[in-house]
Amino acid sequence: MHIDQLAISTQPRNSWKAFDLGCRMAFRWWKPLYGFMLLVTLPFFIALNFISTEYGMFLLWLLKPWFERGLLYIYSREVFGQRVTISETLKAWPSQIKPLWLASITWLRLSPSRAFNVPVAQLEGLTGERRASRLRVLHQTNDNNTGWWTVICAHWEFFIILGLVAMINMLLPETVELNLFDEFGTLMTDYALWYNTLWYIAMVAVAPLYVGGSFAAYLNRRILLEGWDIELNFKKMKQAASDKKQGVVALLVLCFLGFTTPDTKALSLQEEQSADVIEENDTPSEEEEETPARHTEINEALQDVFNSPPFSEKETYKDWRWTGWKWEFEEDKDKEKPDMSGWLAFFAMLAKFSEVILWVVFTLLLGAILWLSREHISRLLNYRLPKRDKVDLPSFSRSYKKSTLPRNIPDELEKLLQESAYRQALSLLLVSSLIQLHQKYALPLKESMTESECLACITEEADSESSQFMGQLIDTWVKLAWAHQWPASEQMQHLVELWQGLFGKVARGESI
Amino acid sequence: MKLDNRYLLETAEGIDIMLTPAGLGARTMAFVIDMLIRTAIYIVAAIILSFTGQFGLGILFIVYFFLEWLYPVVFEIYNGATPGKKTYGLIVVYDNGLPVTLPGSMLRNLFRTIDILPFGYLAGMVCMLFSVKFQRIGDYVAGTMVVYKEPPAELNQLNVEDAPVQNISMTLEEQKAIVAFAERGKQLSLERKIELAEQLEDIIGCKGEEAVNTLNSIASRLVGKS
Repeated sequence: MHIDQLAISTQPRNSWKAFDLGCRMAFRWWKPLYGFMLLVTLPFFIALNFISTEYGMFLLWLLKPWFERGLLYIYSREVFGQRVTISETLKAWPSQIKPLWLASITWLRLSPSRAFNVPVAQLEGLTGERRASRLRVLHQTNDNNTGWWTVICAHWEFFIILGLVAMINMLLPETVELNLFDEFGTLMTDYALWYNTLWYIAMVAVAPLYVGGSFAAYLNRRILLEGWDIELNFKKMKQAASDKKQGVVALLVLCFLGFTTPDTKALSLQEEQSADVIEENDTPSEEEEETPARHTEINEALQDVFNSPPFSEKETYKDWRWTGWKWEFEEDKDKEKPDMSGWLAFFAMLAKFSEVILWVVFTLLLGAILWLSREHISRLLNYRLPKRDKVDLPSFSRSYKKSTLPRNIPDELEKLLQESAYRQALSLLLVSSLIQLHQKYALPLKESMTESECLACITEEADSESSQFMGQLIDTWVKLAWAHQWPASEQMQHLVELWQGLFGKVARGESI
Repeated sequence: MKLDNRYLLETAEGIDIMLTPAGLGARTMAFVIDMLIRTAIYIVAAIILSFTGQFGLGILFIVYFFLEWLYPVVFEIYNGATPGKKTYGLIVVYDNGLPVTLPGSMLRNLFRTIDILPFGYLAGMVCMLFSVKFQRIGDYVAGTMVVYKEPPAELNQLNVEDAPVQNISMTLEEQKAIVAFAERGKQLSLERKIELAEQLEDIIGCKGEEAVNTLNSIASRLVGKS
C-alpha cells in the first residue's frame, strides 16, 4: 500500500461526503467497473432466467456480493493509481471471492453494512476474531451511516425499476391498451422477463455506486484512524527538507568543481552550470562597486514594476462620480484655429450673442426660482421674513379689498348709509374692523373661515367690547347676506356709531 | 489531479473557496425527512379540516398546494435549507457561492416537476450523478447547488507537557499537517502516532514518544495554546 500514490484526495470527510466521493469514483472508472459487471452478470442473468423467470432473479440477487467482489478489486487497485483492465479483473476474480465466500451470500448477505465490511476480509485478509475486532474499530464512530447507504441504494434500485416502467408507459402509443403499473401490481407471469430485465438494468447501474460509496467510506475511516493525510504531508515535509540539504550540497560541489578543474571535457556540463553559479555569486559584488548607475537602473526597474498590473490597476467606471476640482482644460495648442469668415463669421457672432442671451435667461430663471421659493428657503435657514401687514381676509367679506378701501372710512360710511347701500356699508365695516383687529391682536385669520369661525376666533383673541360689536356686525351681515333680511336704518346707524367708538379714532383721516 | 468530491470556486477577488457539493446519499435522506414533515403537516391539517366538510376539503387542497410548492422555498430563503437539509448540514447556495434568493429557490423548486419524471425523481438523480456540482435539473436551471455547510473550525484543547522549543520554518500546509496530527491524536493509536512522528525525524531530531511530544508542543505553539 503506497499512500503517496492515492488517486483520491485524502482530507478527512464525514460519511455522507465519502459516499459522494464513491459516486465520483464510480464515474471516473466506469469503463472497467460497468464492463466487468455486465460481462460477469449477463451470463448468470440469462442462465437463471432460462431456468426460472420467477425465482431466477432472486438467485441473482443472492449472488450479488460475489460480483461486487470484482468491483471492489477494481476500486482497490484504481484508488492506488494502478490501472486495471477487465481481463485482469476476471482473472483475479475467483481469488477475490475466496475469503468468506459462503458467508457473504448467506448470513452476511443481509448485513446492512456488507459492502463496508467486505474490504476487511477481501483486501486486508483478516478472518475470525481479528476481523471482528477490526470491524468493531471501523464501526466505532458517531458517523456510521453505512447502513443508511445500503438502504438508500436499495431504494434507488427500486426507483430505477419503477422509473423505467413509468417511462415505457409514457412512451407507449395511446392505441396500445397496456398499463405496465397494473401488470406490475399483479406480480407478472406474461411480462416477468421484461421486469427481470429492468431489475437487472437497475442492479447493474447501482452496484458500482454502492460498492464505490461503501469503499470510500471504508477508506475514509482508515484515513481518520491512521492519519493518511498527515502521513502524506509529513512525507512531503521530509522530502522538502532533504531536497534543501541536497541542494546546498550540490551547490557547494558545483562551485568547487568550477574553480578547480575547468579543462576536463567530461565535466563540461557541470562547468556551464557552475559558471552560472559563479555569475550569480558575482552579481552582488558588482552591485556594491558601481552604486549610482545601479541605483538609477534599479529605480527605473522599480518604476516599471510599479507601473505594471498588480501595483497600478486601471479601473473603468461607467457611472458618474466626483473626481475632484479640475478647472484647467488642456487646450490643443497645435490645432489651428478654424477659418472664420463669411457665413461662418455670422454664425460665430450669432453663437456669441446667443451665449449671452442664454446666460441672462439662466440668471433670470435662477433668480425667479429663488424668489418663488423664498419662503421655503427662509424656513430652511430658520429666518423669519419681515411680516407684511397683509391680512388673509375671510372670503365672505370680499367686496372690499384693502387696496380699494377708501381713505376716509367714516365719510364713506355716512355716504353709503344715506344711499341705503347697506351691503357695501356692512362689508366696509367688516373689512375695516377685521383689519384693525388683526393689527391689534394678530388674529389667525384664514381665507377659508366662515362667519361663525371668524367670530369664534375674535371672541377668543380680542377684548369683550370689540367682540360684542363684531358679534352684532356679523349677525347683521349674515342675516343680510344669507337670509336677505334688510336691516333697519337705526340698526345700521347704531353699528356705525359703535364702530366709530371702537375704531373711528384710529381710522379717521388715516390710511389703514 | 486527485479525485475529490469538493469543488474549487474562485471568487472575483481571486480567493479560492472549496465548496463540497452534496450528493446522492445526504440529499436522499434530507428529502425523506422533508417528505415526512410535509406528510405530518398534511395529515394534521386533514384531521382538523375534516370537521368542516366540503369547505375543509377545499382548504385542504390549498394547504397541499402551498406545502408542495412553497415549503422548500420559504425555508431556503429564510434559513438557507429545509429542515431535512439542515439535519444533514446542507445548505442551498448559488453556484457562485452566494446564498440563494427568491428567484433561484423558486426556480429550482418549480423544476422539481421535471426532476420527478418519469418516477420518483429518477431524472434528477441521474442528472445529479453526472454533474460536477451534483446539480439536478432544477439546480442547473436556477444556477444553484446544494453544499455541505462547513461547521466553524474548533480548536481542540491540546494538553502537552513542555518540550524543548523548536524553531522550524514551515509552510502553511506543513503547519496544518502538524496541527492536524496533534488534534486527531485521540483517534490515532500510540504506535501509529510514533510511526507518523518519526517521518519527521530528520527535521525535529528525535524519535519515539519524544517525537510525538515535540510535534504536539509545536502544534500547540502554532495554535497559540502555550
